[in-house]
Amino acid sequence: MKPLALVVALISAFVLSANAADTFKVDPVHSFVLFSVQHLGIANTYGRFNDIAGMVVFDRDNPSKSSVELSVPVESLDTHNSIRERSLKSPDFFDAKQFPTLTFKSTKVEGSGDTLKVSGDLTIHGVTKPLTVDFKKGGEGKGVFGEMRGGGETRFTIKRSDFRMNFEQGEIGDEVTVILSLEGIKK
Amino acid sequence: MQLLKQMLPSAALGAAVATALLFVFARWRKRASRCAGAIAIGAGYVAGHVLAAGWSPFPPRYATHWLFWFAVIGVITAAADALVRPRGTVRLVTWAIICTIACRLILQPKFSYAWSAAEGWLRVFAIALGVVVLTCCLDLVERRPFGTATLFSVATILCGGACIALILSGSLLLGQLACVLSATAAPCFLLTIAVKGPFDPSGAAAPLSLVCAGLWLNGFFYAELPAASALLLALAPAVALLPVRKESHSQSRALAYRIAFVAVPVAIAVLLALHASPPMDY
Repeated sequence: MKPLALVVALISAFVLSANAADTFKVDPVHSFVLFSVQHLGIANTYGRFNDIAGMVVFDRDNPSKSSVELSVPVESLDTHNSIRERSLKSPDFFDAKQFPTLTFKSTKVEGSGDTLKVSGDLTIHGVTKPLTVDFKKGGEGKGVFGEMRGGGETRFTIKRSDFRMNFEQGEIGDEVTVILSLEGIKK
Repeated sequence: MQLLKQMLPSAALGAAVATALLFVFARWRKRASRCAGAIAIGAGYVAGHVLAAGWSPFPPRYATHWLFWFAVIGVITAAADALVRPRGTVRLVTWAIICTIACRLILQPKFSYAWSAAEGWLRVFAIALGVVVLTCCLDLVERRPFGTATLFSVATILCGGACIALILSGSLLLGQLACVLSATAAPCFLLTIAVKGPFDPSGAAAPLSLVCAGLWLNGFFYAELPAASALLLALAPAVALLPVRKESHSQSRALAYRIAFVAVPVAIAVLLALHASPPMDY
């Protein structure tokens, strides 16, 4: 009986460890990066990035072992007006041809339950700044092809001047509110 | 109106600095006029650049930062040229090396993301050659009779057109910087005509060509300035070298013809940029 018990124990340990940390590939079709910024102090202008890529490793038993890595191409910026998009992608703001991607790489994940505190480095316009966000976990379930999916959402505010995007301060607000909604497919 | 309000302060500052410096040179330092034009244009542009885009760190972080340093390098080169007075070949080779380094620096992001080293260097050499030709054209314009005034008028038209073309290409910042250069050259032109007696504030070709090239390279590679517009703007100064009939009879008429000649390619460049820009959707 002893060898059998050992095999069972080893298999259980392997299964448990495999379940402990799940890796999700970000699904760009069901993930969203939305932003809003004040225009002339009158109203908010909204925009989005139509593309996002990345990986989320989620360890439900030990969230501190979780990690997030995201990359957003600036060329996918969409504000429903091509003149504004040209301006935003130009050297006036994002400088898309010199700095083609926005990236986030986590350095620490804390918390348990439905909300995780995710800290990391956010790089925009060639400038890297630390950022901590509260990531609200969503549900988990199966997609139409039987694939396992998981996700969640966070909302945070950054100052564009922190990323050396200082053009048209006053006309365009400094604070940018970002909504990041992620859905990933378990690998 | 909002656009004018935004552009006016930096343009006005550039013009004021250039005017003040040229006035000082005309009044007290006429002997230093071999590089007075370069100092007035360079200092005026630098002042306007700082107001429009902030101080540019060294080493620059963004390609637009280089425009500030290009103005400084242009002034230093013009001053050194006025002091040392090197032979023509030495002058040309030195300037070609400076232009190649300047082009390589401003196009660094393309080397990082888009081009292989061989392809990149090939493009850099070709563009640097273009900048050298541009400088030679401006230099030749300046050496002709009534040349300094012609050079400043050509620069005013050229940079004014570049301002509109760059705004249409999606970058208000680059347009604003071109406006600063245009506004800096305009009072230099007026002062050169207004000052009586022998006053020839020359040397402006170096900073003008370097900053103009920087603006167009930024516009073409990092904004959406159409290639044809960039090319026409670069070729426009050569048009000022076309012969004008009865030049000796009326210098002012020859100047007017030259301004009109230069305005044609500049206007076409603006129209092409307008054609390429998306509709306003308002």
